Amino acid sequence: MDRISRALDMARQKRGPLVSTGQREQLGKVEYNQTKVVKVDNEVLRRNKILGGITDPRILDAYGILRTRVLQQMRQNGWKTLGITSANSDVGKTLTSINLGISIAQDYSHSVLLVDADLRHPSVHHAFEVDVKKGLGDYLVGNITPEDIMINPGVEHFVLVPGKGGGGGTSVLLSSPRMEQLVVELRERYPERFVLFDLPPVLVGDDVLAFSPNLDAVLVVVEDERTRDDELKRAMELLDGVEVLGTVLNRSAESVKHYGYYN
Amino acid sequence: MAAEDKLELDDIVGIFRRRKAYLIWPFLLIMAAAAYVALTLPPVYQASAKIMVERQEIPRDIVETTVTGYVDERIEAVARRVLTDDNLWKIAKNLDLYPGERDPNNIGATAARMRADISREMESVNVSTRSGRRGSATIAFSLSFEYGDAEKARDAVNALAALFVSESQKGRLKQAQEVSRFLTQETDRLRKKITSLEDRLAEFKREHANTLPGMSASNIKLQELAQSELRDVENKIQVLEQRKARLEVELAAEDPTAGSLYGGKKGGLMSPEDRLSALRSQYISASASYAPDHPDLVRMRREIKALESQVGGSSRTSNLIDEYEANRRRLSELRQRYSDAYPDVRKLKRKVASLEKQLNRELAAGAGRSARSRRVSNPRYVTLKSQLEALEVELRNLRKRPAELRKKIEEYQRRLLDAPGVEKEYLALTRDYDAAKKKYREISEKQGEATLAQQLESSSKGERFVLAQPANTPLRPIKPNRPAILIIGLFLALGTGAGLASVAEYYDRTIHGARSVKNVTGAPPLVAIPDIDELLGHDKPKAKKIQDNSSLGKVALILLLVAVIGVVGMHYFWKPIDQLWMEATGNDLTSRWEDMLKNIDRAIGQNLGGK
Repeated sequence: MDRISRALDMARQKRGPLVSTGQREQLGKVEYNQTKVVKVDNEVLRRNKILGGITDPRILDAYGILRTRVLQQMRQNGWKTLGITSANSDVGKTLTSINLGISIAQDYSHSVLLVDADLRHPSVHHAFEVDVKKGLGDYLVGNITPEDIMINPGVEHFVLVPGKGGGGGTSVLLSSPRMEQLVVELRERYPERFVLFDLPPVLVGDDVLAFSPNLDAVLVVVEDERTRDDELKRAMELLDGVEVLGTVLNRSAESVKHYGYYN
Repeated sequence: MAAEDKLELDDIVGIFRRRKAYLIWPFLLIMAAAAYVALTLPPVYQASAKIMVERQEIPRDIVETTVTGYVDERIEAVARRVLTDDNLWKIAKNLDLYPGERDPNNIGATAARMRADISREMESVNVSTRSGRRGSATIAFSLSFEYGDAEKARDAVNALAALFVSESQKGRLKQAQEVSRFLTQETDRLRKKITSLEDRLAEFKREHANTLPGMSASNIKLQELAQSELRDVENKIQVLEQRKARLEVELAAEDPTAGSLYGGKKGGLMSPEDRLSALRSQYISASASYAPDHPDLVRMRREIKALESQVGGSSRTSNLIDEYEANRRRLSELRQRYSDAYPDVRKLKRKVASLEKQLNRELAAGAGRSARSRRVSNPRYVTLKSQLEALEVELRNLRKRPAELRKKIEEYQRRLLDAPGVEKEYLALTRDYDAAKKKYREISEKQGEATLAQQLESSSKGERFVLAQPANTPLRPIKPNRPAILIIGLFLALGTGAGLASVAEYYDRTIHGARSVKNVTGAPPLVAIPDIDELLGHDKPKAKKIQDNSSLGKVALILLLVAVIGVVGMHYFWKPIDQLWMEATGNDLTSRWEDMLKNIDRAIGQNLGGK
């Protein structure tokens, strides 16, 4: 663990100069009010397949495994920020982000912040069926505090930042200093907090690549029998240089059989 | 099919799970089609009659039939005569077969249709022939007809079988008659040929009577005879010639007028002419044996001179004698004085010799001259003369013979030379004649056999077709083989499904399972999250559904494409569709569907009625 601590220190020192002390002071001054809590009905969670509303042990087990393995690596490497992306759209990337976040938040004494960085098709708040007025995009272009856009959907230790607003030029926004500043701010606030970013697909635009310097690692979601092998390959090639924590095989047809003994 | 490594059971299970649609839909569709076909095809009944091929009743050793060839061949030949358009049309019309399809203007089509439904099957047994060879012999054949109506099928077969039996009899009798007629014609022709050859042979013999091969020996003998005769004749001629010469000498010595050669001495009896003539002859003979100055000769010369002047003949002889005498006297005078070598002596000697010759000549001429002119009175002379004359006649006759004989010999030789050529021609003629005779004998024997065989056939004792077992009403349809169609359909359905699934799998580039992820990214996924919708029984999201629909359309399109390719490929590379159809259903594809559909109700009705 010494090695890891040292690496963490080094990483912090490395990143330190990115955020100016003044800014930190400024951010530090920001009074964190009570995060807006929007109680989401269990029925909604269930309908949208979000963990709080699901009791099927096979699903819980699957996310449990994912959480364990992700946390293992994040802790080993001292990672705090994890981007969740995929090769193409519609593979269940957002749901995986949400459920992974909730899973981490539920069972361990970690808090999780899920940022919807898919500014092209922000959908995290849709999954919770909450009505949001402002999101990450608005924060990046406007003069609002992060607290203004944070929502607690009624799950403990789980806060989300919807991706609403911002307009065009998403990759520019995502690689902007303000975004960088936000990431530093979010990861630095609580040591035990993990920040998850729901990213757009790798092959759609250059958002992921533009944003990747802000991330410790990325998780690639693959949908069984939907993601094409060549697309996945291309995505992995594009992610060359970015730490890929691993892949998640979503909507797996064989998982029931493979992991059946978890029942 | 992203997995590059070996196919494992899990993969196959995965493929099945993924390609359910590809497997199920074609399977259902094809099975439904097969079931429809299997259940709706009209039943076809087959009625069969058995026709025996009976062997000849009278043993072949006794009467050999003239109808030959293999039984199969004959059955085929009879079939050709039986299964004519006319015959088939008549049967179809009488039994009302193929109602609605029969067209009096196109009886060929109906006949062809019917012919396709008729089948023959040979029944053979293994036999070993007398020569020890083994083979199979056809002893019977069955005649079958397939038709939708059992009773009509039976009636049609029986009608056909009857035709076969009668046609086979007719055919064999006709064949036997033809053989017999041919042989009769042939014997006639040969008889004529033989007659003409005989005529020619007789003519030839007449023409070449002397040179025929058998005549050689006699020709040689004749030639030899002629040659010896020639020799005899020539000898005889020689002998006669000698005799003639002798007779002439004798005759010349005789004075035709004197009684005898020296009769002149008797005097008075001889005329001075006769005496002169005799003297002359006497002198010539004497001069040959005496010297010229022999006293006898001198005397005779004197006497001749005297007679000459007495007879008054030519004075030349007298002059010659005078000159001769004078010269001779001078010569003897000179000799007394000179030697013989003295030129005058020699000269005179020559002159005397010349004169002597002259004188002898003159005397000889005078002797002949006087003899002719004289009356023949000497009996000996007359005898000699007549002998000579007879001899001359004989000689004259004989002299003609050698030429004749030579000509004859030549003729015989020519015959002998001609003989080989004639013989050749003669032999050729006889050979032809013999051959024709031999052939005639053979053919007339055969003709006898053929006549017998014809009687054999006409009294039905030869090989014949006998209706061994008339057709019965078939109780169950032989076609269609409904289970077989269903099984074919099953395999086709499974095959099509499997094929489609394979193709889909092959062209599907999507990730399948953890292994597939590992293949691409180099590491297995952290986790495989099951399909929550499926587990919770949720409806699939709408977007997904739309996509499924479009992929279903693709599937349908591929399915159609594969089916078309499959059918076309099958048609060209395996079996033509109509043939396959025929094998599966026993129905001609050309037979119209409406007809088939029309039959469905009836078939179903019958099936239900039967139960």
